[in-house]
Amino acid sequence: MPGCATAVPGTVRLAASCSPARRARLDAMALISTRALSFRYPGSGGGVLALDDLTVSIEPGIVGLVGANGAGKSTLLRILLGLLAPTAGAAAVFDLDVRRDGPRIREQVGYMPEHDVLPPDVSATDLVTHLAEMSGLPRTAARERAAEVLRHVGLFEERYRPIGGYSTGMKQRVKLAQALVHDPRLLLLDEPTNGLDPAGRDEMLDLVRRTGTEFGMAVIVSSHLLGEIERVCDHVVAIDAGRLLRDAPLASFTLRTGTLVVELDEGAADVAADLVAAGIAAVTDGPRRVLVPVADERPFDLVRDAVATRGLALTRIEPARHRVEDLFRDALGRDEPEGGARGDAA
Amino acid sequence: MATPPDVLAGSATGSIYDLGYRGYDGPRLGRRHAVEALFVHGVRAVFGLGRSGRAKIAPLVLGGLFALPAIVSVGITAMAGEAAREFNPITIEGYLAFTGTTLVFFVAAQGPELLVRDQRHRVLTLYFSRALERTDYVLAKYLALLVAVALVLALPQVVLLLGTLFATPSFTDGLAEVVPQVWPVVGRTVVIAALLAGIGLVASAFTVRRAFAAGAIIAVFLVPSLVVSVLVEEVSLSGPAALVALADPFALIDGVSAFLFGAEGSTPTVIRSDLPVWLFAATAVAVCLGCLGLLLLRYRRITA
Repeated sequence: MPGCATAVPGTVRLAASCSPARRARLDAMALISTRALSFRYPGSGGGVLALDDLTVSIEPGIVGLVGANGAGKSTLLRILLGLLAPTAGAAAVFDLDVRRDGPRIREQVGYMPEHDVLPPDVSATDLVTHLAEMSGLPRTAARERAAEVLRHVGLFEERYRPIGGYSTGMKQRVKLAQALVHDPRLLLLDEPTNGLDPAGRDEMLDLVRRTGTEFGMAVIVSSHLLGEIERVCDHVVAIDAGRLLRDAPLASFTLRTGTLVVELDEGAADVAADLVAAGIAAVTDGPRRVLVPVADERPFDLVRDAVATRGLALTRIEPARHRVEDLFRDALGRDEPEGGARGDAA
Repeated sequence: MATPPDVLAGSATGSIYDLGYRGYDGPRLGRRHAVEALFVHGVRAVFGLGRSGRAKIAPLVLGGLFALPAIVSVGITAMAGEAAREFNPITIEGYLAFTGTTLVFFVAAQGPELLVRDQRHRVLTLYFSRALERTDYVLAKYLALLVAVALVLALPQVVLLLGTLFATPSFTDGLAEVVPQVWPVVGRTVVIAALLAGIGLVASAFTVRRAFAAGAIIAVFLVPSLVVSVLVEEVSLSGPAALVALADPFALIDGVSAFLFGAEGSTPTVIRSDLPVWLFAATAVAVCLGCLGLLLLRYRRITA
């Protein structure tokens, strides 16, 4: 039943540099839990149901929140911050109720919104210093922290110039810096790679990964690209149309959906036949590609042997790229009647 | 404890800025400090402090223009001596009756700065995702504009009071004249600043363009003032119809002054409407509270 999944505890992976106190603090409780959480945006015709009976429990670590655009990722993050009040159900962060304890939650959370939120006529230093004060840091400390986090995200001399002249990549860094400046316990990043070129994406993901691991800060990253989530996260929560689709450690879920793409100059059908004979459910994808499900190490050896004995030319072997759509197809495939019924109901 | 800087931890791509992330173990002063900081930030913003040089021109020019008659008046009295005082049209009670428009232009030029920027660039999201409450935001901004306008409002009045103090032949006489005026001056500075700030912020809270907000502020002050003055002058209202005089913001300002100084009104509207000055003062206070209420409501609903 994809709609009311049970929570699978995530793996907590913390760096060696993380202090014992911090580690203990993070291990102590479920970071986030929601129970039958629903949210309906008001509007004509009953409005839009953005979250639908979502029950999930998220443990500290680097957690990816995946879903297509409009799946309810941003809505969930904003409810966790207390910026939106749930229509029904309950949600808690650090065991604090989002309806009642919004200010206490927000004190300890850093939020990087998806859209552009930076005023163009002030410098990054001034903005981040000001926002650090808005988080309760004294003036001097705010200035020091602003300088430190801006350096951490890779802004140097530019930080004294007005933000209006920054590239998208630099703006994203400023947005990350303001989320980090008060050293929160939890970081909520809404589509941090939005609008970045491939190099910018790599750097941002690297930054997110380092921020999460070096100090053991709990991070939730939302993205509509599973590839990104795979690179930085320990745990994945997938939502679709406001419902929970999957909630599992990244490792377990790659194994289940893992597929190897084998590209050959020719003879894909022969290789596939050999693999099927050996008990692997390989299928061809055109005359030169074989898709091989990977549950353990065995298929790698079998592919090698098949290609070698038949004297074929192997172009490449790579894991199939997971996209959010794969997740959906897989989830629907496993629970065909349930998935179909849900589609009709929606 | 902070982790030591990990300068050499560059990956294959060689990120030279990798100094490691360090935590913050210092004091956290919480919501109260945030509100105070937002207030100070707001007052500075009204005067263009911490902004480019260009942002300082308008507040300086308008603030200077507003204080100019007082400075000129004191200068003339100082040169012409005691005799000139009788013919001086500039009195402290009636000062706003003919300089009030300049003050409105100051609020129109600088007030929208406080709210419009945050809405236009969606900075509200960054504020409201912190410990700061929406109510805190409104109160800090209101207080900031109130204090900024009060400072501008206070300058010519202080100049006039000092002028009186030093122009009178004996210092004790001067003191006797000035001291009773201190409380009315303080009182009206606060109430009138609150009135201007309230109207200025309400006009700014519903737009993402400074020009619209500025235009709205000027319109709110000048249009009713014109209409009411025509009505009072031409139709010579009496009885309950005279209450329309309360719709003129300049009449409210004048009423506050007259009430606190225990004097007659200085503007034609207040004089001819024949309403008691306390009614104008009470309406001014009610408008301040109404504006604050509207702002709180607006910011409770606004999506961040």
